[in-house]
Amino acid sequence: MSESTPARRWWLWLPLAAAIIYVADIAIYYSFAMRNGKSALHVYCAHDAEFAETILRDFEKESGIPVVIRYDTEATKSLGLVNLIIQERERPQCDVFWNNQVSTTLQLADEDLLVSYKGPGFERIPEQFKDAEGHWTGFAARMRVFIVNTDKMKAAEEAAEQALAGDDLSRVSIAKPLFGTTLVHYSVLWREWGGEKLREWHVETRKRGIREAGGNGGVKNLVAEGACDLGFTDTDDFFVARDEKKPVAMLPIRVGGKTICIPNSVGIIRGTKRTEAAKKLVDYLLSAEVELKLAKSQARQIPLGSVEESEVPEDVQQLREWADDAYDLRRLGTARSECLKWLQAEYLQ
Amino acid sequence: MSLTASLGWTLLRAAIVALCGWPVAAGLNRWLDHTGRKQRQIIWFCLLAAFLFPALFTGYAYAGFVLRAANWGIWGAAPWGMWIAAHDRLVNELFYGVLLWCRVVPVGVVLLRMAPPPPVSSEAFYCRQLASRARDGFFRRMMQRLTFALRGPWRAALPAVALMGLIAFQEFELASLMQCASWTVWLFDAQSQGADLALSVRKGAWPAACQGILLIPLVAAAWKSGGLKPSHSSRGRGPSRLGCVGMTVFLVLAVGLLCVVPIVLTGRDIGPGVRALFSRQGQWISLLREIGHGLKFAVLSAGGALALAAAVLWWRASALRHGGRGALALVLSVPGLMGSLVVALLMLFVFQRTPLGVLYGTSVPAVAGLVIFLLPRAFVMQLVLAARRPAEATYLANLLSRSNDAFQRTSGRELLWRSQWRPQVFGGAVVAWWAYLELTLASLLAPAAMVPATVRLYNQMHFGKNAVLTAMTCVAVLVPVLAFVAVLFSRPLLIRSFQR
Repeated sequence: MSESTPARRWWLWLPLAAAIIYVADIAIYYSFAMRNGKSALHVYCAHDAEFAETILRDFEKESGIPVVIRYDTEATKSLGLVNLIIQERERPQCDVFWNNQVSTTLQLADEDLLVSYKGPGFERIPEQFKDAEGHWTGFAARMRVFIVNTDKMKAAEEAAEQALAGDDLSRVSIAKPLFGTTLVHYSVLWREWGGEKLREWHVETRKRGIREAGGNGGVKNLVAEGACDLGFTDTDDFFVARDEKKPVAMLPIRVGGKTICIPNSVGIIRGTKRTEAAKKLVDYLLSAEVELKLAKSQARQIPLGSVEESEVPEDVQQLREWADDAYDLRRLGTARSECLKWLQAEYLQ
Repeated sequence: MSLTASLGWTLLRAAIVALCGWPVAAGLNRWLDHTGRKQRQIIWFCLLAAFLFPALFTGYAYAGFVLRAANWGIWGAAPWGMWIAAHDRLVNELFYGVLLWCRVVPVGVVLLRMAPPPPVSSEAFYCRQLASRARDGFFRRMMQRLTFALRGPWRAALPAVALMGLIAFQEFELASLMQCASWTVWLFDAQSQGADLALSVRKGAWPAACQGILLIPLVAAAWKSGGLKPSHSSRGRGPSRLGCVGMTVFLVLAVGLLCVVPIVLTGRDIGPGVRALFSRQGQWISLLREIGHGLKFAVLSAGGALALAAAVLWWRASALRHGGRGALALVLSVPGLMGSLVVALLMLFVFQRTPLGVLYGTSVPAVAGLVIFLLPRAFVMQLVLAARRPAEATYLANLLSRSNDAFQRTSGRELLWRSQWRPQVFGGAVVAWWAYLELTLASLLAPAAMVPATVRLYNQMHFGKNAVLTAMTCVAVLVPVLAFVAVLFSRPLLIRSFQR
């Protein structure tokens, strides 16, 4: 092999070119971050980007505060962002965390990574859906539901119970419980049944052939396409299937007579240098206006604070009745971390 | 599924795909030796399209495809439709295997084209067979034939199979979007669970070891032969008519499954999606900005990786001999072989827990991580580019470009461009394309203000398909391609303006 020729030598000048490009990049980056003399608010958002983008850009227009958004993937369902926030503890990059559920926000609160704030938005949310100290506040919820393929079985709670009690569960689907709302569901079961009973139920349902999907979206697809008759999912996934004109219906999942209502949650990250801007965003997200926007979106999320009833879509009104019966997720306590520890040992050997 | 099971399953799948890919790659190589220029161009176009078409787009189109296909019209009512619906996971895995097979064969063909002719010709091999003693036992005879074949007609087989297996083993985007079992998906999910760095590195060590084993035949073959050199001599008989038909079917299948069908599956949404996208000014401006970030990372990291590879392989002042450089290349490739997730975690540790933390929040961690990840591919690309350069012709073109006559100078420079610089530019573009499509490193290391478009699109793809997302994906794929084509076409204009 010959020694360096002109063609090979020119590659060696690239680091210099790269350094020049990089310096230009830093200059552009800081000019972008410092638009209008204000530094941009960094939001880590686990909510569906399509809906969240609209809301955050509206906030940008109304407040004049530039917002930079980092999203998560539905495959990891906020855990990726939560772990990033924990890893960035020494040098926090995030100012506001908008989570699409509450259990991982509880984890951040336990790790003392959230700052207390009780603004006007906090006051309009019921006690059950917020932290008493103001470290996080819930809003715009969704529910755990059974999705039923109406071509394959009757959409009734008795029929669902019968299907679950059968010997063969290969026509029933559930998401991997390591993430998101399925993890919350498991945590509730851990709290109410005890760890031992939950473990037995988990093993037994797998033995009976229950079909595990990658996420709630996967469950929705299996039931909507007829590969399964019944599945555990959320209201937003159900509405996606219904909007696609699939033959589906939903039934509330109840644990001890209570429905599982999982709100979005928002908190200000400890160490933020943009506290006032963060507070404005938190109040904006907790406003009636945003809850109504999310209620009218494809996700049909349930307003938790008081809103103009006539503006709430019909689909969501039914869900509001179910939300009145919701399990108090503040009672989870250590159940979530214990349940997660067991699931990690189960799945991540 | 545990990591061990995922690893075993991925290894088995990679082995099957590579072994099934070898006869096709060998057949295509033979066909390229015995066909005209036009047909060669068509074959190369098909192979490169199959390999370079974004796996992200293919995975997006095929997510949930098997399940939906099982319920299409009368197909759904037919027995096989019902069987597919009942066994959709198995069919999905088989379909993924076929897609992988179509993707890795072009890589095998490239390696075979670059491999030098074996020191043992087919005629010598035949004589050896005749000379082998009939009274030797069957096993002994088979082992002798195998070792002789590996030094002869099958010399390039092992590196080609190893490389195809490596590509299949490392695949992530298709497996993730199609929800197939893979160690890459397992490790990504585990990290999202908060697995600490030490655990992830420990878990990533086994896949890295598997990849290291696969890489050894490649490096050994490259250095033993004194480097990769294209062979211009015809290698034996051409393929039979049936063989040509078979190769044609493969090319149609590969381009169809990897490129055409995904476009058709999502095509219906492209028009309405583009209209909806452009009606939301904020969204398409964000998209263009994110595409710009992706291109910036791609160009910086590809340039850095190729420069580093060139320095290791050819730095004149280096005291290392060929063997030493090969060893250094292999050592530097190890982190990249551990997968983008482990590299990302290492970068997070370095830029969070050390004094280098002042650079966290800038683009340095992302670029550094991408350079490390791309290094193994950069080494291979540099070797391939070096093999393509005919030294005598390049020397003469250099002399011509320094002529006193303007016309001769222009001609010399044009010759240099075609023989030397254009392959470099295309090679650099391919490495930059890989960097542009790399998801994990960018999603974990890019600052929030500089998240590339591919990361955002991948995140949204798991929520499901919609017209706007399809349009955004098309724009994100087309813009870099059009930018590259524009740069290439602007070269003559730039030269003419300099000459005035």
